Amino acid sequence: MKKALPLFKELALRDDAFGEGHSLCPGCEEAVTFHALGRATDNGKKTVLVMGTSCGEVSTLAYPTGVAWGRGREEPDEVGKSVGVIHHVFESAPTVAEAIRDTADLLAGVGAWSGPPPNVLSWSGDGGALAIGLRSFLHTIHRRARVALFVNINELFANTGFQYSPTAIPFGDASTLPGGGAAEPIDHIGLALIAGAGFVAQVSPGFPPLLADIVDEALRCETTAVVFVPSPCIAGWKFEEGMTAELGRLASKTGLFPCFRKRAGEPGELLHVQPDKRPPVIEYLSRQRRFDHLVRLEDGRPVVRPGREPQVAAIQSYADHNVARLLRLAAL
Amino acid sequence: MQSTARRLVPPYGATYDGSVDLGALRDAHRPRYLEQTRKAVDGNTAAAIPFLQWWRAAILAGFPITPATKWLEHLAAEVAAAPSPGKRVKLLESEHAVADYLAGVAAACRGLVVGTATSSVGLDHMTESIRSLGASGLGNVMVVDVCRATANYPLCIEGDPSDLLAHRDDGFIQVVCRGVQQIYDTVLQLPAIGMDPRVLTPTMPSYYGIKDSHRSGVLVVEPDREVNDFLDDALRAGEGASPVIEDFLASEGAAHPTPPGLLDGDTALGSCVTSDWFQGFKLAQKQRLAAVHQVMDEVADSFEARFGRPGLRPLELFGFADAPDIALVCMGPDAGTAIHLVGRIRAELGVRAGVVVIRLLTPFPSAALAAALERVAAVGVVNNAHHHGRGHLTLDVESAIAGRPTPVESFFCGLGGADVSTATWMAIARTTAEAAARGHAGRRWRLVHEGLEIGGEDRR
Amino acid sequence: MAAVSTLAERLARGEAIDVRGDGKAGGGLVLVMQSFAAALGRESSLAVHEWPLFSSARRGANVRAFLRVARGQVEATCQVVEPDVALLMNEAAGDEVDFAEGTGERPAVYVLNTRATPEEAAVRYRLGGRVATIAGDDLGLAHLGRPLGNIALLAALVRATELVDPTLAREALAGNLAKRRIPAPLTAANLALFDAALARAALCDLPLAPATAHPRARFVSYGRLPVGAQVALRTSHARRTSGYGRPGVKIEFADPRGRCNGCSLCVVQCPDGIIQFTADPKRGAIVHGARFDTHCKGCRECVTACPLDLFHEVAAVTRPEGATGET
Repeated sequence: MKKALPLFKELALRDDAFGEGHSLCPGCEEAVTFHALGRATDNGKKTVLVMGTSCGEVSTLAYPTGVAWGRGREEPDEVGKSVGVIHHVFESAPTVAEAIRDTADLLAGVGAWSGPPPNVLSWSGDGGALAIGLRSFLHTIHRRARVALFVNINELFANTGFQYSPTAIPFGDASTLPGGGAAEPIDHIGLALIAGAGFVAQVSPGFPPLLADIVDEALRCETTAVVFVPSPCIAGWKFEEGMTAELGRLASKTGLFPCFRKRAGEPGELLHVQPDKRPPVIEYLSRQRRFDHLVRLEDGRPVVRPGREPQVAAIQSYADHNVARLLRLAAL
Repeated sequence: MQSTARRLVPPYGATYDGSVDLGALRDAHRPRYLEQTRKAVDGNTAAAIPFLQWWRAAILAGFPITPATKWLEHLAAEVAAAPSPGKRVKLLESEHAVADYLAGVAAACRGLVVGTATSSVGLDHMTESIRSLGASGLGNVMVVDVCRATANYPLCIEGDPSDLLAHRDDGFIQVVCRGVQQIYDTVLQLPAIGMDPRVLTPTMPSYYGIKDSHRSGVLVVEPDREVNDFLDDALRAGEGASPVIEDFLASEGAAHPTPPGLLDGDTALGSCVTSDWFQGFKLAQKQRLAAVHQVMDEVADSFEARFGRPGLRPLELFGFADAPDIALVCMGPDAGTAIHLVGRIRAELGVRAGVVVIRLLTPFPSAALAAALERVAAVGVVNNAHHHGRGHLTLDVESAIAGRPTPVESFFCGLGGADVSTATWMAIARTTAEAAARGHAGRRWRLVHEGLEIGGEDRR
Repeated sequence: MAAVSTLAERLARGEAIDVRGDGKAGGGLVLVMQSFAAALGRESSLAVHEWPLFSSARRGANVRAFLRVARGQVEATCQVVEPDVALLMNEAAGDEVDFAEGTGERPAVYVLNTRATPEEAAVRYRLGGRVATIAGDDLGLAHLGRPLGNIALLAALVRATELVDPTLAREALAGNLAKRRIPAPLTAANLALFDAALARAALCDLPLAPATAHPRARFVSYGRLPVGAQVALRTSHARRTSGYGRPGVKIEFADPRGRCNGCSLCVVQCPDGIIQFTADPKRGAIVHGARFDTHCKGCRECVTACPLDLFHEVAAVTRPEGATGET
């Protein structure tokens, strides 16, 4: 019996709704996720994508020559392959997506839409979903809107120039908070679960098979699916070329942003992290110049700068109890 | 299986004809009014009824705010009492969410009409969203503004048009209504204007809070069938219309296509641009707004032909058959008192007064106003909203008649819903008449209440 | 040949000097302009404005910046459209725009970050007047370990324009680096780079090019714009983003023994989606290349992703004269 290709490989062979020529930074993880979404939505259903203001929006939806979305090389013959993209205002993506789903459902309910229910996705950065957008994010979930909310987390307000974001782990340098601060990140997974999401996941695109599975599950969720995508930001975090996916994997393994998946009412799990055997956070910090004030590399080995031990310890402590807390949330 | 045909719609992308069968939605409509009906309703209810009647208004959204709340409550009650798969009331958590939601529905399917009612700080809360909608081309969005004194210090929840005027350049077509019939009729006509491919601009009908939102009158409600035929006919006629404006951007002379929607199209809305381009879009937006004048006349003509009542015109004129000496320019419910007093003004002051009621606020009907004021010896402009200078309307009126020697007296009254009494109107008429005799305005502006001039600024 | 006024002479006569630079976002143009502005500003009789052509460009996309200097006061705030000094920070930027656009009516000074000599650059870009070149990326590699040519270009700019004392310029640069919270060892390396570039910048005064060599793109009309800027999809595909990558390097794929096993990791992890493959229903995507020449930004994610090391980074071939990017 021939084994079918794993989902992520099969996805690689689909028609992508995200193309080349966008102006996202070389090595931007957002673009990798966009391709994953672009391919996963080639599933026979009409796709509507809602974007909040973000790097992703300004770099892929620019007039006149900067729209990178679109399945295939030209307008498809069938509506099922077509894509509608809208960017409204900063924090509106979840609400606009909800509106589109409601419209499609109503039209289907009266026989005005005879195709399968469309894929309806929203894309926001951490600002658009968890800072200014927290209101719309939580209420769309609360109303059990049948949409897939994707949230790119890079611990900064990147589009406006890498300012501090409430998703940031402690002590990362930011333009509005030099040297970072002691505050721990907002508990985005907890918030999504408590608000009532039907499916909550966190996955780094550095794990392509898991990303593919999670995106697929999110698109099939019967209520609100929330997928957090921790994305190393090369321009904001300042790391070497070719390290984006690597750092994403490390963020999971250290416990700072572990992969996570949970369906409401069922036990969830952490993935790509061994809770009791994690690389120390310093491995992760030392590769990014936004932590240059905390650690430096000496003969290729990370060394804490004198006097900075408490801050590094605080980050390690956060990683430790983050894992513990997520394990408890998974069991809810 | 959906049977669809791809139709390229450059430069917007493609529309898949047949993917959305609006006829099925129309067939699912559960008529609310089968015959013409007279009923006593308040302003909010009058504004709500068309949304029940339109088959295109499948989804209505709202968040309560005094004094607009009854609009939402009426819809919720009616839809709950007689549910239909083609009608849904959606409650959101804030006005900003409501506006974002309207954008989503409107963009998803451009043949739908989607709307809400709000007021003052609710309108303000939506600002970033409606400033965007104003430029979006989503003419199927309607935001009813129940005018109310804005914000705080002090808080006042009664009606004046300061909110409407604060949102002058949001890009919406703004119309002021008074009385339940005018409110209902205006709401009925606006989508035919906003959704016209030459216009593609969202609409904002308004009426003053309390004085009109909470005032009952007898409303003639037309049957659903007529209400829908009126809009459907207008949209069909608009599809093939030729450009009405002299396009200084090279015009291809072709019909204005309706851009694709998100569900039935392959397209992108909301791209970003640099300063190299933005200005061109604003110019195009302004030209579409200017097209409102002609399209509105066409729609009003159709309305009058079908329903036998006055259609939506930019101004109402009273007393102009009599070659008035002075004109009182005003807006909103207090105009009714002025109209009522025309005879008394003549009798007690010996002055023939004409009353001009501004209905179309944005785009401002400068030409129509200038024509109306051609032969008067003085103009009194009545402002009901706080302004840093002489008054919003005063500036518009003076701009419309720029170059003429006609004196313009500027008045403030009725701020925050203050009563505009007969004494106040008589004082306004008297002062305006004095300006006519003098040949120039006596002061730059005056605040009048209970017939007394209690504040103002002298000429330099 | 008639004597050509130097920039300093023109400044002394009360003229404003307009400077315009083109580069790639992240390529260092901003630092050059800000440092030059800071240096000019030290001279108390001069007023300087410096500002960007704002855009949402991120790393790799084209950026443009302006500077205007005059004795006493700078009043005009309009864009620089007829520069007296034109900078090319990154040659890839010069593929997308004519960095010399609008020059030709008056003698101009051109300063380029390039390995070419001034004479070669003059031929390639049709330049006349004063042309200065510096192999900034190479110097950046040597001093900073990164092909970042901005400090070098600043030094060449200082030499070529003769508007500010090099020592003052060096101080202004150090001040700017401190403001950006650059760590001390890096600042020292930058200053050493500056000194080396000052010495190595090559200058040449050439006959003026024809006045029509770099016509200004004149605005005529916005054209017929779509309502609300709603547009068709896929409009970015024609944009060649291969110029976004680090200068001097490119990525290649080599699999002479056909070892690719269809793991598909590169395909799904390429941010630009440009991996080329044949679909094998049993194994996955069997890769045979990528659209390196048109859309590769040199991010190296494929290099990291491939378990068989089939992608690698190589030095990019020096651009032949007159060519526009083809190797």
